[in-house]
Amino acid sequence: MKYLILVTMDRNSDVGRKYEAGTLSNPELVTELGKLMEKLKNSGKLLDVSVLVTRSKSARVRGAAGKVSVTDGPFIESKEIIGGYIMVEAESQQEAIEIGRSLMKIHVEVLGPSYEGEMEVRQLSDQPPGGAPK
Amino acid sequence: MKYMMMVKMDAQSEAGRSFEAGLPPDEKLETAMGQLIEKMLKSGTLVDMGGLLPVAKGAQVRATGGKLAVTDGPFVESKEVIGGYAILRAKSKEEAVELGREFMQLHLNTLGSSYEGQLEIRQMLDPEDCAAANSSTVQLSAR
Repeated sequence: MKYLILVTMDRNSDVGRKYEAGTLSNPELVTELGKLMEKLKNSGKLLDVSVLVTRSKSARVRGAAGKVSVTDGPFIESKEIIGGYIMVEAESQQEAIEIGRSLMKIHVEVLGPSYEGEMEVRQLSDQPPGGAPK
Repeated sequence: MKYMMMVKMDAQSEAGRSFEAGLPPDEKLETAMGQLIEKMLKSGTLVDMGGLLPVAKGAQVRATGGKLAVTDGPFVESKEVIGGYAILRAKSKEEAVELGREFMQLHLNTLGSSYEGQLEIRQMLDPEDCAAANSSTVQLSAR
């Protein structure tokens, strides 16, 4: 089964502020995360991983009352920021959660107890939307 | 450049409630989506996409005060629900937004004016255009 793990931060936390400012640069975190990704990749569990660029370069497209409207970032009203994601192949939700845990553990170990973050672990539907060819 | 487009709904809206109940998508929408996906795959603007199962079936892993905590869904406090995602290839944010507009318009056309939804379009850190993007952002060398 495929799982999407979204890595999120609170906009008002230390890590959230640094992320939005584009100054979240930590070589040790990059090295340690790289090692975990390598391990997951070698065991065939890593399907995809990506970091998202700060929200000032993003946009929102909203559909409501029959109309489409577009807003450019940053979105100061939203508290939660998605910083990146990993997509994994796991045999159970428990295994996907364990992968999420090891990813989170690295953040806590490298960034210290002041680090605050959250991951959303979501199973992907095996039916592609719109019956698209896979 | 690559963009991640997250498809969001208000948990209390009709679309959000039927998604969380695990109901299959509207047939008209599915047909129209199939055509749009086909077109986007052909033009190379669609890299990948997927639908997610209801949030209630998911889990959260939270780090706070140096400790980890796992919570299983459902989560009563979540107002916004992510129902799916698409990874787009576009030359600019404007092009990605245009693709999003088309996607959203199709939802309005098939589901009617009672439909409410939102797309969050985020640029992905692509090693290919890393220099052009924010080079100070954390980079993963996993691929």
